[in-house]
Amino acid sequence: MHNRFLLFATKRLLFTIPQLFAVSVIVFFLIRLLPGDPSYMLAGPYASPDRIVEVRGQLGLDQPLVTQYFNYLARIFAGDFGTSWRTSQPVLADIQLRLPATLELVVLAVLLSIGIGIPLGVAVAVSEGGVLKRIVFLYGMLAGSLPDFWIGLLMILIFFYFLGWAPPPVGQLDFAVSTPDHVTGAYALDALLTGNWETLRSALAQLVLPVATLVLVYMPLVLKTARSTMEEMLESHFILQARASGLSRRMQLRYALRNALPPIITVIGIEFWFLLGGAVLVETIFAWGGLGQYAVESVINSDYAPLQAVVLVTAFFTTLVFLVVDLLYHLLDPRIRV
Amino acid sequence: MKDIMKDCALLADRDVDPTRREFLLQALAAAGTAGLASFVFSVNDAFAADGSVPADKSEAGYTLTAAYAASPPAVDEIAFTMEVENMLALTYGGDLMQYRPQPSGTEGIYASAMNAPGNEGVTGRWVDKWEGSEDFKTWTFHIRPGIKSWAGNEMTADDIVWTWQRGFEMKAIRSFFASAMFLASPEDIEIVDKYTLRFHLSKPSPVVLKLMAMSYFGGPFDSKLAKEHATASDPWAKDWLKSNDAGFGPYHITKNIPGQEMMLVRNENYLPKPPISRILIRIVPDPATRTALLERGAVDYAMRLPERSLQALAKNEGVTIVRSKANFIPYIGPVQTNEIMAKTKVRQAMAYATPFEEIHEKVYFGQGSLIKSITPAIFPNYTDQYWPYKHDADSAKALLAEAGYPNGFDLKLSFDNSIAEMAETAVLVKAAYDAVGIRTTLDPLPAAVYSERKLRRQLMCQVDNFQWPWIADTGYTGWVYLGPPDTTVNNSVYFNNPEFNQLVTKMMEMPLGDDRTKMDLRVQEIAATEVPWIFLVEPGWREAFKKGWTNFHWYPDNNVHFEWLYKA
Repeated sequence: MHNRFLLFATKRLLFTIPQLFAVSVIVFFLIRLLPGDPSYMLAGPYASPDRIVEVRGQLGLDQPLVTQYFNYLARIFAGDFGTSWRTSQPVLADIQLRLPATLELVVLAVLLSIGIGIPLGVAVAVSEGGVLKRIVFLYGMLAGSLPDFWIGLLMILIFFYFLGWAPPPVGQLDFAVSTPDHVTGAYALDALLTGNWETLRSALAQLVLPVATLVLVYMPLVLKTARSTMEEMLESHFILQARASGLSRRMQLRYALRNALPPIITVIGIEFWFLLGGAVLVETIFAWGGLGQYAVESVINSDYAPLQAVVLVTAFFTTLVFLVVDLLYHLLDPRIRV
Repeated sequence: MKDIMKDCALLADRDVDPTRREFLLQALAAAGTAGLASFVFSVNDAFAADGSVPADKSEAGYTLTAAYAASPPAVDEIAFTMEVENMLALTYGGDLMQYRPQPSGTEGIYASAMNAPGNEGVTGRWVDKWEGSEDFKTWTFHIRPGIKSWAGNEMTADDIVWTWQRGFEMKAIRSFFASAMFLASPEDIEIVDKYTLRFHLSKPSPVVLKLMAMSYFGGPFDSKLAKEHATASDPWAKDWLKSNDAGFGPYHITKNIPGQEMMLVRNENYLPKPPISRILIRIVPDPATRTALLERGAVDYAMRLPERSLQALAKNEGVTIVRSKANFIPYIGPVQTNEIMAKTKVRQAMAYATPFEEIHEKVYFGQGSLIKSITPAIFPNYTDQYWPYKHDADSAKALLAEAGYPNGFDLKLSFDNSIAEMAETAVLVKAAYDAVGIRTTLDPLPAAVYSERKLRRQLMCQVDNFQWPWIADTGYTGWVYLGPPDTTVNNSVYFNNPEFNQLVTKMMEMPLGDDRTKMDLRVQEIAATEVPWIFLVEPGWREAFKKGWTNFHWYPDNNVHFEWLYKA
């Protein structure tokens, strides 16, 4: 069993290499198809044609596309993702700064979605109609139809603007709160690990509204999947058999939930993947300074190097997430193969 | 003052050629007594007279919190955005000269003296005295001793020369303006002594002092500090100066996390010492969030809010909207590389079809004023007498027919979609143009794409607001934005009128006087009849602050100069 799992995991890991390589090719050439040449923006309106040519040369844009791609690959293997012209920083440094911010937001939102969505979905599935079912149905309908940025703005309006309960939406820490010593790059976690309680308080307070926004909008996916698969399982033959055999209600639910888990895990994987790149509007509204915001600003400003790197990093995490999903699937059902 | 009068009298009596003599005399005569003073002036006297420099309030040591729209891509002239300009102004403080502040008419707000002709209206920023030679080609500047950077190094003539050497090497904004002032190379700057420099220009410039009053290509570098970060492969410390400042300006960047936050602290050596000792900046990209932050009092200042948000904020008792007349020139630009746009009658028809009043009312909520000349209304010699256009659909249709388009034509109207006011303007323009048969398609573009296509003159027609001429002079404005298209990179509409080209080129090297004034008016007339730009609304300088801050200084860079602010 142990060996089979290791073999499965190894095969799955090896499969990520061609996946990432393919992504790098597609991303590189697709980005070159985008309109816009950053040299003009970088050089500014007073730049002479000579200066623009010089900037294009510095950015490597004067080389043939294939040459540009191989130079790019060579640099990636040397750990150099290029420099962002918008921040004047190496892209890797920018990502090291922004990825933990996004991960902190997304991981918390996904964990809460799991922690609330699955029990609530199961509860609704086992309930015999009633108020809870109707409330959850209504919430599922509403949350699925309202965009996250709108919910985020509403949150700011109510909890910051009118009630004054939430701190100002100015990013991961309030004004004048010092950043914690670097451990992981995620401010709340670093503050906790280094015992910086003032910063921890501020970081947690700043997390409340954006995380609540993401949970409100994206939890229904987990909730609805948990409910529907549980309902399906509770109606299935093996649960009828268990019921007929006189197993306790608790045991019946346990069996049903275990068999309902694979689709729920898939949905959680999809949600995590989506939020990694899709929390951009929430990041923008709350001035989070995360990876999604970085990507969008890169697109707007034709900042190629960070854009390529963000897509690669996102692809890497996506591959990782689905690898974990596959491994969990394999643990839950060893019949599954690569 | 007596000495100045004596010097001027001597100059007038000398046997100089008529042109030079005319240049000198007319420059002096035009400016009157105040103008004479600009040749030798004490910076502190200039400010103290009108109260724009309050008594020392540095003890207060205020902390100001600000919500910015974006981080500056760099703190150097290698990049060009409004945030870069803003940071350069705060950390480097500007070049040798500056526009003289004068009361704006609104309490607590000072404006720059933009209405003085030629080299008038400016005073020293880092210099106590300056002299122009008889032929106005040699300019001597005397640096005020004791000016220190945040690192504690004193400004000397070496710093100025190193700064210009670096500027020429960078081939960016500073070198462009070197050509505007006829400074051919760094070798044309002579070090006379530790505090004295001499600039040798190849031609006389009537606006050289105004060109030196700019701050958006920074200011003098503390070359001693910068050199500490230079390497053999990077002798101009370009890498280090991308993210760090080595200036003599009022503030110094101590923290910069791009896309997230910045912290600036006061340069304790800067005089007059700023009342604000610390500026905490958060990058808040969403204007609605910036508005909410200011409305709730969570920040002291929210940057770059559209007029719609300002109107809402104006109703909040805890917020002050600061306004001053300014130098913006938003316009519709038919790009003449396109065959249809190259026809004057078409451009005139478009001008008549433009809903000026509607844009003024609906986009700018009646703030500011309609623009009726290529030169901003606060500049010398401004006149609206040549601008006949107001919304008149019949005239537009008649001109279209005369131009050979009785059934109109298809127009693609491009704009930077990150600027709300340009998008709102484009929508109104489309409706008005459609009504006269100019079938308009809106073409919103991301900032970089718009910028590239505009500079490459690839658009058919653009709605734009990136023009705010620093040099209060029609000749300069015409030359820098609409001058000979083969050499004027900013002439993105490819306007190419031989008479206009000749006039603005000549004006850049011509002394003040009646002839130049006539040329000034003629430039304004051509810009009205040929309509290279359809001028829209000058909205004025507009900033939103938490109530309580005062002593705002409007400068033609349209940045907030925090060094002056204090709490009333």
